[in-house]
Order: sequence, then C-alpha cells, then structure tokens
Amino acid sequence: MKIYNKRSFAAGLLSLALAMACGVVLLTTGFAAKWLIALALLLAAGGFDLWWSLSRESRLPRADERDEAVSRKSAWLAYRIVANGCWIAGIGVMVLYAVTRTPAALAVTLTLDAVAIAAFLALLGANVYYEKRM
Amino acid sequence: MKNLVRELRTEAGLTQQQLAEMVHVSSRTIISLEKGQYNPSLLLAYRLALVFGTTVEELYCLAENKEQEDREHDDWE
Repeated sequence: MKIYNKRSFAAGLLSLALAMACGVVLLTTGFAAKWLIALALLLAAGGFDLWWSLSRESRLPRADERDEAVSRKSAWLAYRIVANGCWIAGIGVMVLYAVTRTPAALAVTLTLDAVAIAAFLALLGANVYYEKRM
Repeated sequence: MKNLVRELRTEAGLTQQQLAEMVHVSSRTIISLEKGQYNPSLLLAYRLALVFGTTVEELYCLAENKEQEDREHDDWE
C-alpha cells in the first residue's frame, strides 16, 4: 500500500480525528442530532480522503517549472499588495481617528496594523527557513 | 535572455507542442522561452540542448549574453 497524495492522506486522518472527537462528545453529553450528523459527514469525508490518497489517480501532476516561477512571483506580489495595503489603509484610518475621534477607527487601524505586522513576521520566519535550506 | 530555441525548433521541423512534450514542460513555457521572457532551469536548458544536438552555451548564446551583462554591470557601477 502506497500513499500517492500525502495532503489527501493528512486531510483524511484529520477528518477521522474530528469524527472521533464528535463521537466522544456524543458519548459524554448524550444524543444530539448535530453531533451525529457531523460524525457521519466526517467519517464519510475522512474515508473518502484516505481511499483517494491511496489511489494512483490522486497523484499530483508534475508542476511545470515556469508555472512554479509564475506562482512564486504572484505570491510575492500578492503579499506586497496586501501588506503594504494594510499599512497604508492603517495610516489612513489613524489619520481619520485623529480627526474624528471615532473609537471604531482606532479598532480598524489597530487591526490593519496587526495584520501587517503578522504578515511581516511570517515573511521573516519564511526567510530564515529558506536562508538555511537553499 | 537571447537564445536560439525558435530557430533550432523550426529547423528541426518541430511544433511548440511537440518540443514541449519532448522536454516535459507546457507549450506556454516553450513560447515564453522563445520570446526570451523566461530563463529555464539548468536541467531544462540541458534537455533542450540534447533535443537539438547542441550545447547549452550555443543554445543560449552564453558568450554574447555574458558580454551584454558585463556591459550592463559596468554601466551600473
């Protein structure tokens, strides 16, 4: 038995683990239709994913090298658009807060800046990871 | 980067699709290579050179491209 699609296999295991959790909830808290439905759906999804991951047809096609390059460049551009957009919008809303003193504007600017900082930290982490491996 | 992929492909009487299948890439990659928009990996360049019975140096005009890059580097400094 060979696993042809590791992502599908992992998804299957996760679904089965969640199905087990639903089963535990059912046993401990008593019968509830929502948990039974969730259990049945997760079992079906997990079973299908596991079966599919062991099928030769689930093999991912070999990625074309230009497609990979296009994907890398698009991901980098998308990151820059989102991160810089968050900074710019955050500053804009901060100015709005300074003028209007609306509490909602403060919440929005903090959220946007938090997203930008989280994206930057993720970029730093990824950079350190690849610096060591390339 | 300047290259001779289109010239050698037409000389060999191959379509872009046929060449793409021979070197295990998409025909869009061949189109992009011929336009000089995409620089191939070392392995793909080697595969192409083998198909045309030439060397990577000749297929990718490496001497000429190196000279041009050296000039650009000098201008930049």
